[in-house]
Amino acid sequence: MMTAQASSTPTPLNIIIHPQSLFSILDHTLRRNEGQERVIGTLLGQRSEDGTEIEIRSAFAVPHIESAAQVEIDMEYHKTMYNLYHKANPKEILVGWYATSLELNAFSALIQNFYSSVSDGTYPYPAVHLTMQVDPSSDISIRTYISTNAGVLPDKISESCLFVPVPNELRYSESERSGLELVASAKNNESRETSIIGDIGNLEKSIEEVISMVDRVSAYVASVQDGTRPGNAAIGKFLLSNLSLAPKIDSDELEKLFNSHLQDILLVVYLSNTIKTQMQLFNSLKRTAVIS
Amino acid sequence: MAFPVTVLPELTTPVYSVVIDSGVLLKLTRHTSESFPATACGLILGLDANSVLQVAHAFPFPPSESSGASGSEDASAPRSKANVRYQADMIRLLKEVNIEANPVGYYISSYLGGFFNQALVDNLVSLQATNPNSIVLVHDVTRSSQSSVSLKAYRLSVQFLATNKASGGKFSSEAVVKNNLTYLDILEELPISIKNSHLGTALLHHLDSPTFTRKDDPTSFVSTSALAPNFDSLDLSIDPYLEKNVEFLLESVDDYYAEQGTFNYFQRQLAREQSKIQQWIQKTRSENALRERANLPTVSEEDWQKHFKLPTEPSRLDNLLISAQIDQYCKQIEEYSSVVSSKMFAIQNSLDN
Repeated sequence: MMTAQASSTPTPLNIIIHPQSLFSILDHTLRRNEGQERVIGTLLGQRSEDGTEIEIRSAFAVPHIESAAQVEIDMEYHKTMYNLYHKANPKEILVGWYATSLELNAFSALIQNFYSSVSDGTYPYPAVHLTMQVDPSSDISIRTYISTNAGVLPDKISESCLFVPVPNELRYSESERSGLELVASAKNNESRETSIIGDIGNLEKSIEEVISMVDRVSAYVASVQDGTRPGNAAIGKFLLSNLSLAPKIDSDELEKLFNSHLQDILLVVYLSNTIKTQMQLFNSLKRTAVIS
Repeated sequence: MAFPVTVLPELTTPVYSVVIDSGVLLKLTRHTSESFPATACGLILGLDANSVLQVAHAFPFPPSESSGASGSEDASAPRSKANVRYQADMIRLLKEVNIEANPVGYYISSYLGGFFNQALVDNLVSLQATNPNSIVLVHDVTRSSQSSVSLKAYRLSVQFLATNKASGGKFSSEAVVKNNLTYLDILEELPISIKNSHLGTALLHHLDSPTFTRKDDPTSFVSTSALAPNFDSLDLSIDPYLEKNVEFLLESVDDYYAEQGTFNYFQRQLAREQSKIQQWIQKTRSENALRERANLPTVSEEDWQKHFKLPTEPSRLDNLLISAQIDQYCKQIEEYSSVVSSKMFAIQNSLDN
């Protein structure tokens, strides 16, 4: 069982990925030069206080040339780009790098060592390496690793390291969620396009989804009652507890509440309509005043 | 919706719609929602071809250094010197990784629709001078947190640009009337659609598949897929949003009246000066009559310009902007109320049954 050499620095136990970084990586893959098998770039993000959680928030591409014998990365580019990004988002720091093929070879070790180096790497924290398989023939899989030194020979230590897989999960904030939902609504379309739907459209969609969910549940309950399907006690209890959450209020009270709520809205709408009409009146008066 | 008719003087073909890449949308929404409530600003890059503006990339501008910067300072970020340098550096680097780094506009975040200000106009005027198809993408953070993403693309209308040129930036009343510019015509809106790349679609399918859920806790039946539908739009509370909106609306109305006051003041000044001029002209006329009889040189009646100075007319731009802002707030209230009233009526009906 390999233990990390620098035992005082905590190793990340969980990596959180923001979907936006994944899309950036995919975008970079699409734009790669002819003949390049995999593309490489830098990951930026935040580290939690105790170092056990790393959040990957964005990514940018770094040009690199890879041949059978050697690999070359434009480090200057990496430094300048990192500085620019850091100016725009002071909270994001270097956390690792990514590559778009699942294999881990000697070149990966070299690059990993560069990213973990003292000068402008992630020292003393280990750099995170994210690999994403973007081969169209197979499923997209995302794996994250950190490295430890598997010391074989002292002079070859820069070329060898052991990649330890770390569990990752996808997380997003509330506002990102609606953006992601919008983007995802296009995934089943032929043209991969969707337009921005307004509030009413969104409401309609949500209501339709709720109705379909309720239909599914009621069909299930009906079939259990008929005896066509075996009932599951856990599901039954869950449904019962959820349905009993509907508040028991006197219907007159409820009606009064609703009516006052509705009146508030209608009052404000009336007010705004009045203001709008007045603006338009002013506008046309102004024009006639100038002309005359 | 009727597409605006744009006639551009140069060889660029006019653009009628905007296509945004999914990665750009996510980046944009994340940046604007994170810097809430400060205004966030950034540049968008892309290509305009076939009367469609494709937005392929975007990057945020660094926040302005002065602490406690007012919203207008941040909003003028695209033109500040430091940011122009930042932009040039960024574009140079992006070109190296084959990203078509052609600026086509900029994006801003807005708090409840309050983005009609001088900075917006200045930015768009300078951007559209170089590329007539430049747009501004406005992302309303408060509305997006409730329901669907509220993103709109705007461009300064032809009438506005013509008025700006005709009056040299001063927006006098005659220029405004001659170019048929009302407050509703300042900006024209372009329809937006979101496009995913093939790999992006594959990723979305992967995120949606049930194998992706990590928390397989057998007693929980809640779906934990990353793309589970969001039911926040079914929430019934209206007060915070509506209250804020009405507050802003009333503030804008106050601003409008203040601006109106200055204009009225100018008009009164003008009237006073003109009556003084008339009096002076009458006086010189009678003096001239006397002088002719005494064979002395007459004073020309046109010389009133040497003695009196007419007050300059204030720019009508503020008035236009404030009116457009008020209109925007009213529209938002109406849209919001349509959603809420349908929810209310639906619930009332279900309760009666």
